[in-house]
Amino acid sequence: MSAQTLLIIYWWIFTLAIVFGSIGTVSFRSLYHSALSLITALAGVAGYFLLLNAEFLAAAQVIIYIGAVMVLVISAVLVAQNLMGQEITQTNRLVLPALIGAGTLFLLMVGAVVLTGFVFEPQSYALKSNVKQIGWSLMSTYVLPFEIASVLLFMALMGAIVLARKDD
Amino acid sequence: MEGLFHSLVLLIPALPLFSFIFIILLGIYIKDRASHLIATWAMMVTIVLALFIFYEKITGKVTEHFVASWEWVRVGDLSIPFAIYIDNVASLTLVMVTITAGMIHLFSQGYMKGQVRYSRFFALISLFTFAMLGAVIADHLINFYIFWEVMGFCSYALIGFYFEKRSAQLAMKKAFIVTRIGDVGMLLGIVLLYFTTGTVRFSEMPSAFLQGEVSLPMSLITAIGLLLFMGAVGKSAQFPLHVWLPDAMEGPTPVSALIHAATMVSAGVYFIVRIYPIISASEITLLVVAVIGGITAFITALVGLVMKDIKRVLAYSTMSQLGFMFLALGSLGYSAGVFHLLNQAYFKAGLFLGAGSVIMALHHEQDMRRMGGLKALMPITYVTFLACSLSLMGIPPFSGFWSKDEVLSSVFARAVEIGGLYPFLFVLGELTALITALYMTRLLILSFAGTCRFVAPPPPDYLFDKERLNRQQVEWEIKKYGKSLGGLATLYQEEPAASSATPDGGGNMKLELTKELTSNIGSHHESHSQPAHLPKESPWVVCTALIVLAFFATFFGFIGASPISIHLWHKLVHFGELHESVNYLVLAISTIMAFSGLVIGYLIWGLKVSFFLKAYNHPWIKAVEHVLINKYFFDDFYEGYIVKPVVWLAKAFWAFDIRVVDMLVNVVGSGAKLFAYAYAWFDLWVVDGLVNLAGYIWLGIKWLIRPMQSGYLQHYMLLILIWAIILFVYRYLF
Amino acid sequence: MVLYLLILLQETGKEAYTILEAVKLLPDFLHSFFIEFGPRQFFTVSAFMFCVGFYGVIVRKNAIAVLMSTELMLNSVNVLFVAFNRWWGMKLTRAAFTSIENVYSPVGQIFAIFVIIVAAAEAAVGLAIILALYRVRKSANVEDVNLMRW
Repeated sequence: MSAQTLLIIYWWIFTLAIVFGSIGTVSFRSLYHSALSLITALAGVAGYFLLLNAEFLAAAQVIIYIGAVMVLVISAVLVAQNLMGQEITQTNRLVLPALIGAGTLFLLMVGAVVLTGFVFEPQSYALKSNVKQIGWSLMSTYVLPFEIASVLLFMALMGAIVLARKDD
Repeated sequence: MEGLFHSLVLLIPALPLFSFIFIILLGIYIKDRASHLIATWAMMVTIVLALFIFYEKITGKVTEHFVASWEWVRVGDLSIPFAIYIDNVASLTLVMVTITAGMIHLFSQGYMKGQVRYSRFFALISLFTFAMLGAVIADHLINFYIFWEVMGFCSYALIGFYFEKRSAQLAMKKAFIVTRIGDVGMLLGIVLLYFTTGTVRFSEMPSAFLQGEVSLPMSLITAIGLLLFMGAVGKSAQFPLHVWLPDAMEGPTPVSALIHAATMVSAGVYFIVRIYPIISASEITLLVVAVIGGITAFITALVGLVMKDIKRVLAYSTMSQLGFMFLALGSLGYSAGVFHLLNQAYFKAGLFLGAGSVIMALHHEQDMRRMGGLKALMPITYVTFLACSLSLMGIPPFSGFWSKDEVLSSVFARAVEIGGLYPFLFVLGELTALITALYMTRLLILSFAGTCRFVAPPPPDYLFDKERLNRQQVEWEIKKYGKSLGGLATLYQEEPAASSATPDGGGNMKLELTKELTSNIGSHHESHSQPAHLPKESPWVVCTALIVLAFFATFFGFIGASPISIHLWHKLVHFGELHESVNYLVLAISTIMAFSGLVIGYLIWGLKVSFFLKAYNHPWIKAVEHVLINKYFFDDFYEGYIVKPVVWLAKAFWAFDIRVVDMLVNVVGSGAKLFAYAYAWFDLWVVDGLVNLAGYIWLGIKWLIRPMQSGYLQHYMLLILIWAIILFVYRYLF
Repeated sequence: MVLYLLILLQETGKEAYTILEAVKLLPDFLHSFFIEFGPRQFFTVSAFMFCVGFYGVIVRKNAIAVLMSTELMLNSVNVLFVAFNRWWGMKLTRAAFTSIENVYSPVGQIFAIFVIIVAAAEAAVGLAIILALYRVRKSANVEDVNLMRW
């Protein structure tokens, strides 16, 4: 079993996780189930990152999304769930137009992918770990966006606290 | 010394101007007393200054032809300076104007006491005096013309001082328009003079015209001279344009004195004296001046014989004397003309002020038929009036005699020299001298001699005098509507008080007036508004003025008294070379004429000799009197053949304007209106329709697109999706 | 995402495409799809994730569910970035004292990191907003919020 075949097998596994996770996210009635299937999809994306030689991103995906964001989401779900029971319908009247629209968009995108003649060569360099390079780049070339991102995060933190705080 | 001199000269017109500005601005805030004090004292200072300047001139401390000029207006090449030119004539005239005007100011304090617009009166006479003084010292013709026109305005305002009276309104208009006719000619003359020679300064004229520095064709000089003379004719009320001066009697008596002696009419003669080089350069101009002067002197003296109004007699005598001056100037009698100008000013001012004193004493009664017997009642007025009258008649020791003799001897000399029309003019002048003595004797006898007719019932011809009744009618109206006319009733406040002394005098003004009317027209036998008290002597200010003027009227002539001191006068005022001969023949003729006029007048009006009374009733004499009373029908002629055609023409133009021009304008207007209606329709339905259509289109689009803004997040997301698809499809297709 | 693809299309294909051509090429694509390990597979799955996320955003009533669908869309973009970086990551660079050479540049990954950062911030703020909204309206339903209506 060559490495290529192994990659394809992994790819299939992660793809199935992503596809079913995504569909589940948008179609489960229970928000809790939606959140869990979103975690599945995000985990599939993390696997994709591993396949694409982005180990740092895969780790970040697992830690940030699955660890932090989803915990946040689930706690919010738990807070707000008593009002959103599973009995009532979770979708509005736009199901059919949205389905048609999203399907058309998907087909068009696939058409674009099909029609585009991608020219590439399978490189060996990609197999190397590039975490160190990312670190260097972040701290040298992209230091300004990095700092701005930190400010943005801080502002988002403060804003979230202010918004979510009860008015005493 | 020179600097002091010309600042003093400038101060002479500046002082009256100052008092004018002060009084006209503050007149309603200060008391009447303050305004007359300011005006009068400014004039007194001016008299002192003028005498000082005269003294400087005769002692030779300044040059004989003193000229000073300051730049005033500069437009491109044209430079108009403000220049003064003081020769001997100017300094003498300054003395004359300041003394007469000062005395008139003094007199006005008494005469105008308690009347309406008191301070305005003083302001205006100050302005009048200022303009005359400015004109006297002005060197440049443009300066002179400005002062000349200011004088015209002042005469207009002062003749119409009682502008509530219809007759005063007409008189002021007449004076202004008639003098304006002359001024148009004068302005044309100035322009012609400026563009042909460029010498419009009096001080440059002798050298330019006498020594032939400018070479002009004689016809052009004549034309300029005649055009300039037109202005003098208008201002000095000479023969064709003389009609305004008698009507100018509508003004208050001091104004008449001012116009007749100090300012207005003297300015015309003075103007001719100033431009004498131009006048004397042409024989034709000289002849025209002399002829117009002679004719005016004679015909107006004749009218003076029949006038009933004391002021009108004096007015006609003024025109006659001015005619004498022009006669002298037209006969190369330069010094004689100036001499007569000054003398005439003194005695005529004295006469008018005396007449004003009489009128004041008689409660504004001016008709000589109701005077008489004032000799005993008003001694000072009588004596001064007599002195001035004798001066006017030309009775020997008085000053008028000397100047009139000068005038006539210059005409005689001219007649001997070139003949032509001048002998006739000389005869005319001597006849005028006789008539002058005649009408002045009549005036004196009617006014001062005999019994006081003022307290007696008025004679029938007085009661039915149409002209007087017209005047009275106006006065009744003024009395009736006096309050609404702004207190003009105070002018005549004595008369209602007098009539209240009559048995039927009631408090009701209207009733009283109707009674007065019926008593005037219906029964003249009944007692007619008899005054309760006799006339009495005027206050001291009036008497002072009269005495000063009578002094000058008596003694001023000795400067130029023919046998004694003619050299002195000729040295002071001469034109060209001196001629110092004394013509004793003319002297004798003039004296005989004056005395014979006096005697005949006394025979007619004093002794009432039956021969003259019979002759008076002769139809020819009656016819002549009719002509004279109507002033040779000049007014009717002008009214009928000039004013009426002008009015008809104006009406015709008015009709043309209304019928044709306005119709055209209206047609254009109606067309524009129709077009405007069409355009409005177009605007309303097409342009507005398009605009509204655009609006409605967007309104429809609003109904289409407004549902898109549902406010629901997910609808927007769906729209984004649709647009993404559209973009993709677009990309696929193109 | 859409714009990115549009730019891609503009750069790669100069002539206009027709849907018919795409349909003609589709069998080839499907044939190689399951036996290859290349960018097309990742792109297709990314597009699928994106469309499903879009569908979720449009359809779901619950605001938290909408937020989760947004996370899906963001992750699909991340996959795209990283996939592009995997196959077209070489860049001609010249470091100091060296000659020009082809060096791997992890721009796509770094972009993905920033997207993750923004997504985290967005999740935090979004959830806070939802909680505040819930406190005011006693509802987390998106349809209850239509204050932006005309």
